[in-house]
Amino acid sequence: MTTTNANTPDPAPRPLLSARGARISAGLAAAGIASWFLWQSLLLQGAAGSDAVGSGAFPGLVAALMLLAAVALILGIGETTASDDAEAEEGVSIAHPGAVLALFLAVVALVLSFDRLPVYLAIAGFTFIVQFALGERRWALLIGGSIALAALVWLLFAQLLRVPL
Amino acid sequence: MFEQLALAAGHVLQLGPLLAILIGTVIGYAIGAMPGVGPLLTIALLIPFTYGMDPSTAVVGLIALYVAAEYGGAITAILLNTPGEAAAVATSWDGYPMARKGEAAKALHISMIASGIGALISAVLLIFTAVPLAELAVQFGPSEYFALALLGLTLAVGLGRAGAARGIIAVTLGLLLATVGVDPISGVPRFSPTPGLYDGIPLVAALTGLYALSEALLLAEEARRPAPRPAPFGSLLHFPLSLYRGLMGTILRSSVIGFVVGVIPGAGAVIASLVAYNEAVRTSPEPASFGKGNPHGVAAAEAANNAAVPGALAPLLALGIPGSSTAAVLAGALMIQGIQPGPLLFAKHPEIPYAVFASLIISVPIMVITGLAGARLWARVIEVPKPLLAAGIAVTCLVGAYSTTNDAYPVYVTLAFGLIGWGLRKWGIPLGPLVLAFVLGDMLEINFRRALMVAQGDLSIYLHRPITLVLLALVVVSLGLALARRHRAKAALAD
Repeated sequence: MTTTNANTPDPAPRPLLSARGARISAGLAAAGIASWFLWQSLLLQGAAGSDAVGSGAFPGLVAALMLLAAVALILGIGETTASDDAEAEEGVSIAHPGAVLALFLAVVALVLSFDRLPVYLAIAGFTFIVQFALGERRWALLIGGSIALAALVWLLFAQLLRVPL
Repeated sequence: MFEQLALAAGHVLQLGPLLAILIGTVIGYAIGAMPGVGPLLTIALLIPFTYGMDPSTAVVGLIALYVAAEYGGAITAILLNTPGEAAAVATSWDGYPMARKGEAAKALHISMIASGIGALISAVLLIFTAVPLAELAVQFGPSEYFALALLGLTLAVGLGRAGAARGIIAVTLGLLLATVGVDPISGVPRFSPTPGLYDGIPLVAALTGLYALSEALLLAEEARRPAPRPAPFGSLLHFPLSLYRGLMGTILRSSVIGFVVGVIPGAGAVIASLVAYNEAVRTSPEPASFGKGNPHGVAAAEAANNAAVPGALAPLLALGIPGSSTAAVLAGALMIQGIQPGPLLFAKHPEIPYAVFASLIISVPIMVITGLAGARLWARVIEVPKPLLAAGIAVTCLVGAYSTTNDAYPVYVTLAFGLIGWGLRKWGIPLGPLVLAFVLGDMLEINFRRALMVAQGDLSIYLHRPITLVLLALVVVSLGLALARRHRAKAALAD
């Protein structure tokens, strides 16, 4: 098993989705969202009766436009290569999926801990775990950074902004 | 106008606003220098800090931050060939070669002075255009406002770097998100599975999630890369004025270009710097020297991207249409203070636009002096370890969202939008047009429906009013130009 040295640049990540796959999946997601809004807008418009510009009129038009754009994206209409956007051109890739997942889970844990743990302890713990998960191994930074960030939040939010944390 | 300006200058020169300018400038430099962390993200993160402030002090601090962060990107562009943000890409083309030739201090000096002059000239142009524009806009009715907002969104899609379909998806998604909650006209709840959404999606929580939390997630991917170390350079405080003799023409021209491009919604600092750079190459007697360390390239790009900042504020203050994504976030900051940007701002809260004008004039010299004196410190900001930076951004987002209402609901919104923002960026859906649409959504819908209600559902109302007609014609022209640009790009690729 290979390990990543903290001081060596990463090789280019393998794409999770090709440019075409990214385009089609983005189009499908957009089409799903647009369809839901369109359906809800039609219900709202139906409830508004004869009012031509009821609650559903504007979102309905917007959702219909989004649906058209989603279909165009799926079919690749209006794209240059894939797009002028370099990220999209290369498809979707995640250099360190484990790191992203770890950060996201740590964020969720921090949010859930807000009403359950002393907040500064939670912030210091979160900072320590996130730094460690993202490859930091210097103890001075792991501990010092965690305490400093919690102290900064206390100073800025609790003392200056008077937010009851 | 000048009386109001003098009054506002008097207010800005008091301790509180001056401190806000200084803190905004320092934060702007420090954060603007970090690659990927530009003015937009910084303002989104810092909005919660402005809640308890007097609105004009808050806006003064945020404007100083906006200008300084726009410059901050140039520091790493010159020293490391790593632009802190997209608007500094053109700066790196000549700035980095200058640094490699041992002229890093000279390049930084030119970039800072050019930025300062650009922002100052643009601020003066803003003062002389925003007030008459607002006076004209007071006469606008619902159909004009609808057409104006539509033009802003069309330009944002047309000038964006993403493909047309992705741009339209971004705008329509932003508009649909803006419709969530109780309908402002009929009072009917829409698209709200829970009563918590009746008030709509909280703007600040959504913006911090979209921009800041998603940035933390993106940072996590590259956290293992070692931070680069900038080359050392000497003091920036001792450069002769004669250095600027040959550069003034470029700086002045680029400042005007920056302002004009900045006014166009969706164009912003990136396009401003590219247009000004191209113009500098076109008018130079030595075009071949560009890209190899020509100081005119640095001066043009920096004067233009900083001049675009006041430019982007002109349509925001006068018409309520943000000229850039950052201006859209700034509009959000004003709206949560209960202040609606637009022509009535000059009548209802004249202290706000005039405080913006005065703060631009006053903050620019502070920005230049702070920048020159602290350049070595700003350059070291890039050495902040990315794992700590990612954790810091995430914590600031979440606690900032919590502080907006002191309950957990906005924190969940930030979390959800963080994930959505990360996904959108990964899948190539641009965030700029989405945010612009999210901020303009209410204005667009309310005016669309009011105009139709007045006309009893007759769509031809949009063709009977001359200003509306002109604005709609501009919508068609901008769409046509965007299509032509894409067609040319496709043809060039085929060749």
